[in-house]
Amino acid sequence: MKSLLISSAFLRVLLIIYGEWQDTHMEVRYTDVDYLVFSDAAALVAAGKSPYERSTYRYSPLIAFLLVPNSFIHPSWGKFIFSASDLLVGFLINTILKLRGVPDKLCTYSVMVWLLNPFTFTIGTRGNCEPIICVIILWIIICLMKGRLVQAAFWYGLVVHMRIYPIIYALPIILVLDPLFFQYGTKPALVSWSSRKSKSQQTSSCKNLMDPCCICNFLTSVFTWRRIAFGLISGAMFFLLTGVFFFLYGWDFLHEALLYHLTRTDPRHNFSIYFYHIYLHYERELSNLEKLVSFLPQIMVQLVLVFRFAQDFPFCFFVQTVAFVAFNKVMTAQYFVWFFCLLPLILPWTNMKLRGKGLVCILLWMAAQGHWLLWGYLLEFKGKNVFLQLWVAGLLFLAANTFVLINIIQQHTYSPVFQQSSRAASKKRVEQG
Amino acid sequence: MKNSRNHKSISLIENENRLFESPIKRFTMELHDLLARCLAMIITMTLIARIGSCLDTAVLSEDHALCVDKYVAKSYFSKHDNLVDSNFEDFIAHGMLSSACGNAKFAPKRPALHRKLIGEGSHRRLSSSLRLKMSSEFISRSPKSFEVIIIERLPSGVFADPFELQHLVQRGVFRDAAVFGDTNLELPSFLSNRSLVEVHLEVNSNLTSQQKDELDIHMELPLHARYQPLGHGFSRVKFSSPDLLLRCNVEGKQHGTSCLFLLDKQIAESNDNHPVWEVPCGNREHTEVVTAFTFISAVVSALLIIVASIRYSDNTANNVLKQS
Repeated sequence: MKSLLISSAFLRVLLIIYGEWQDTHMEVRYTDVDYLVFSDAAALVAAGKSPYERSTYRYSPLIAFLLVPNSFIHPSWGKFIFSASDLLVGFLINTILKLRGVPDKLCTYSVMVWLLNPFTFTIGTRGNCEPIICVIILWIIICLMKGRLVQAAFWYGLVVHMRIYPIIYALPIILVLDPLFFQYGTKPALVSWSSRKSKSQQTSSCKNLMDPCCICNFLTSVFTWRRIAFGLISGAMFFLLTGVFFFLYGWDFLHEALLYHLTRTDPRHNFSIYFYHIYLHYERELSNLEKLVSFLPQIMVQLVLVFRFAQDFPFCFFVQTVAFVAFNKVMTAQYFVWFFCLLPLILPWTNMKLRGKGLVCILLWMAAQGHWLLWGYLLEFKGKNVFLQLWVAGLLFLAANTFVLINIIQQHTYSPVFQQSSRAASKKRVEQG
Repeated sequence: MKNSRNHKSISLIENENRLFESPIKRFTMELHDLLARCLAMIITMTLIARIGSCLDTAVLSEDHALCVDKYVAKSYFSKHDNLVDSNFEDFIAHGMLSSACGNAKFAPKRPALHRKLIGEGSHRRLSSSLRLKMSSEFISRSPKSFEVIIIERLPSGVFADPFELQHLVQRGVFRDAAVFGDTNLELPSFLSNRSLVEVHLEVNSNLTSQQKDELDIHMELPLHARYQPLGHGFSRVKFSSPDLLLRCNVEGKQHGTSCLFLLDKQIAESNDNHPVWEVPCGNREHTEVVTAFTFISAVVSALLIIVASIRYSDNTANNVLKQS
């Protein structure tokens, strides 16, 4: 594990140095365009100005604050920070899997899926801020597993402020804060990996979603003080940060960092199935009904996944993120990092063989993406009118995503993270009796 | 020139600080001293910036003694919100007092301009080759180096990325470059306004190594296509000819004073070909099919995932029943 981390660190340092070389010697930059945006914004902050004076800076001011040393230590400071968080993600993956009782060898393999994934190490070294978000998400998972709810709520408020998408995890977190697992004064007991098969489903409080008794139970037990406290703390954190930055930077901050992401509809080509539809309708406003219809598949899938898998929340986060990205109105390659960091957390529980279906899934997903990129290249760099083909490629990519997601779900061994505490279980038995 | 300006600003700051220094040291604590220094710095910097911009830029005629910004187009956009050809032509024709400079009559005549688009796809370069015939009087009267200013009024279908241009300035490809007008890089063309690019190129008039009286200037301006209005196949984006200006510092006069000439546009235009960029555009006839199949596929995928999750739980529930 140690040697894996050291060699990955070495690889990242080499890539950052190589990136410097490519930036100065070649026409095409290695560094991500967004990194230049962050750096410019950080330089503005260092000069006492608003980071939003840099157009297309659409992030929390915290990222610009973090990169202020770019201006006086080294321009690559940010890349080191992002790559360090990338390594930290690997370390946290290991911690989570250890907590859940996964054997060492399997832990290392899973961590390798993150650390040696060419997609993820290039993202950090090119200067993309997503690894920081991944670190916070994983840290929240650890806090939840260790029963440190105040800390989890604090970080959750922060991460939703930084990137809005983790708001989709709110519902599963609320569901998992079940009084069956969390008892006053004791740490929640974790289900060990080795007992994954026999104990599956035992601790699930709701076996059938449509059971009226279950819904009733759900409604009465939903407002526990833990859930309310989590909601209040994370909400307070979110609104505090938003308020402070609104005070500092005004409407620029609100428009660029929050409202832009909420209302973003991009007519330019991207992996999303909706891009051509949005482009064809850009000259007129879409009606509210049309907006609702395009939102419906997204919300339905999210709800079903949450209610089915919430108790196995790392898995739930993963499938939610894959589905969220697949049905989003805008999809770019950097969004894939959001679920790549959760993938190693579910691998020890999958029954998929790498040599069988696993390989089929990987190849299919990559082929669909490559096929899209081919048409995207013809449109963007060759000036061919291939909008229709590109849109069909987007549909095929959605099909590939759906296929992979369904396979992952089918091959997964559902394993709730927490054991019902004995007190709660006996209490429940008494009630049922 | 830049160095001397920096020199000036530093000495001014020092003076300003000295003025503040003595009373502050006597009466206030160190923290206040620091704050006051910062304040003084800010005030001085803004003052210097104001003065500097005037010193730096062209004074077109002595009787008008105008303070004009570094960029010619800046004063147009201080009066107008949008780029309109007729307004801009008026501005160029009446705002530039080329006769103010003594050596204007020796300015290069008959500039020949050749333009073409290089590359393919959404990111291309507009190449402009300019050949100036220099009169010997002009060479003898003008300083060693001068600036050619190319003002490119972009059609609404394309834009220049100001940050990319800044990168080129840093690498020394252009002396200065700026974009005015609509610089939102992400809007499709039917929602955006036109923009204007002003590029300053440094030209060395030391012609001994080149042809006797001719000067070749070459510029490649990176441009990007916006998403076009819907149509059939391709939308044609046609470039108009640029406005060409020449700026040189006048020797013997006050430092920073410079002369601006408008290069004869009619002559330039006769040799000019207007390049056309064919940008692929969405087809309105696709609308129904695309909308229908987008939603059908979204709904079908969503349903498949939903069914898979529900069936998954049933399976495991059954397994548990069997086990027990």
